[in-house]
Amino acid sequence: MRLSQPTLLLLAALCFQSASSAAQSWNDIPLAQREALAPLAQEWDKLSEKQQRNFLGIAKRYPKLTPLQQQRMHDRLVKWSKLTPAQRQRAREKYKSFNQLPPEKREAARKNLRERHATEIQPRTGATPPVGQ
Amino acid sequence: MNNKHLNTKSIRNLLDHATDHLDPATAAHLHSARNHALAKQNTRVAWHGSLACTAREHHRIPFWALSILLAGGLLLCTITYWHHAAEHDHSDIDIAILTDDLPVDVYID
Repeated sequence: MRLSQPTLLLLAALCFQSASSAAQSWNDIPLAQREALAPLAQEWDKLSEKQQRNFLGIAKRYPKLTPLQQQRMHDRLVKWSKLTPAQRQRAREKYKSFNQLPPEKREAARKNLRERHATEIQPRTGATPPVGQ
Repeated sequence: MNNKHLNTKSIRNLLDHATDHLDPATAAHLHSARNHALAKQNTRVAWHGSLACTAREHHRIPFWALSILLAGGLLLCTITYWHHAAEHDHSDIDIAILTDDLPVDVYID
């Protein structure tokens, strides 16, 4: 086997590059993705590389969302970013199992959860929270 | 010389004879061109010689060790790639949670 030195150097560089993708600063992110992740601008640099990559993946889908969904996402991004990885993982699992329910059961559960959430919020704020906040 | 008697030996003799009688300037020019070509070839061999070859000749690293090293590198690349791909898979479900009509709180313990 005869591999030239430049080929081997290129292979090594590719391995190194893929193994260690450096964190991206806020200003290096494309404008469209910055707009999608605007609520995270202040704390972007504090996020881990893994979180940044995940949020960039979310930002790529942002243009396809409806205005209401975009608003919801903006309202929830900061809270989502402050959860621990374990909390986020549990939320994903809960969401998945919730969506595996038959449609009628799911709707009943949704209604139940919405009401429970409203009663939990009401004593604190003294007002009914808007749906989706 | 008669063309009918031209053979390999006679051609070689003719060329040797002609080479012996080259004028000094032409001989020097040819000599310099030869040295230049040899120098270039040596440089290319030094730069483009394979690592495997270099290792075998100079550092005596066995071929199997180089193969394992290369295979390990490729394995690392593959694992890293799949690890990154798996992480990106979360973005689908994350965006679903972030845009759902139920608040995020209901999915958090």
